[in-house]
Amino acid sequence: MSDIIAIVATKDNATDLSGAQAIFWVDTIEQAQRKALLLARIFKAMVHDLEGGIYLIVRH
Amino acid sequence: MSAYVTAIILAMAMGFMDRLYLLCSDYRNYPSYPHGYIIHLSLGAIAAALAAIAIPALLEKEYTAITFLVLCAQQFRDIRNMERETLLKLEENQLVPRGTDYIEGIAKVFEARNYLVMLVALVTCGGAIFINIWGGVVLGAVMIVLSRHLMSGKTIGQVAKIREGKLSFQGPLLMVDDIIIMNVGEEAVKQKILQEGIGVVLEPKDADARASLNNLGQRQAILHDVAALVGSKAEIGEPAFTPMARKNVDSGAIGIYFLPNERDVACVLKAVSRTPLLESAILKPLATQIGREAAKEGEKNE
Repeated sequence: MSDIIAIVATKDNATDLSGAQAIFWVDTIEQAQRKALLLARIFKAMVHDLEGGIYLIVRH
Repeated sequence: MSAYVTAIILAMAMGFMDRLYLLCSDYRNYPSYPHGYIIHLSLGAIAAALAAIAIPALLEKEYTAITFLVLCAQQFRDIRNMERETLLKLEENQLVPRGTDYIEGIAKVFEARNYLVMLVALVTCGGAIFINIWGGVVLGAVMIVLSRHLMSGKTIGQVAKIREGKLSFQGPLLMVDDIIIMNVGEEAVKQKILQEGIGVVLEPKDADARASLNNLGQRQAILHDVAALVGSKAEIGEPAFTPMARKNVDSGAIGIYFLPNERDVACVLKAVSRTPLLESAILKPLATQIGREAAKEGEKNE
């Protein structure tokens, strides 16, 4: 099964996102991509793009 | 009994040669360890020896000796278990695993090969006793060739049209032609996939083939064979580089995404084409009335 390790999102998504998952808030999409990449490498996980500046780090 | 010594020795030799021949015939089903060779060759020799004495034992009215054959058949079942266990253990450390269906198929092949060895030894011995030594040699040689023929199943290339598919991204979605493979979030990975990745599309030739390609074990076997033959960039912590196969639910076509070490499309297509069609994946809906009618309906709708 797949597990969501963390979510990286730009701050303009603040009203849409909530929950028990670790959410990393960033200012720009570039920062989000960079943070998602680093997290994925740490957890041996994959970055999935939900578009609109939301990235899921998922371990498959 | 001494009258049969030549026949028994000839039958043992022929049986052993058959095992040797079958060992060389399929590199993929064979773990390339010297100890593996020893195990299978010695078991082959035992099988050949057992079958070789069957006819002389019968002629000498030694019926108890025949019952030993049954006992031994039981023993050969362990070969299947042994192969299965070994491959399943190795599976844990494979970046592109074989899949349980492929392993089961390989294990079955190894068991069956010993029975073929027994058949070759039996026929050779019979030929040597009832015709003459040369008759035994000829019959044995024919059986060896036949045993190889008997064991060669179909390949993917025979049941599906294989062609290169175009890799593209719709937003974050990786596509092979119109088949969605997965969601990729990293820009750098997307670029790498577009530059170095290969897409393959398998179009089943009939409803039977469609049912076979539907089997997840069969798809995994294809991915494993391609990775083993061409080499894959799959790596721990890089799930996006793992090869993947997904189905077009409407047409039954399979889209394969693969990131090879060297981008050689022809080699990848050839590797897909020569993947064996797994026994566990062979389904024959077309052999039934319902299956044929359903296939006709499907053609009309297309």
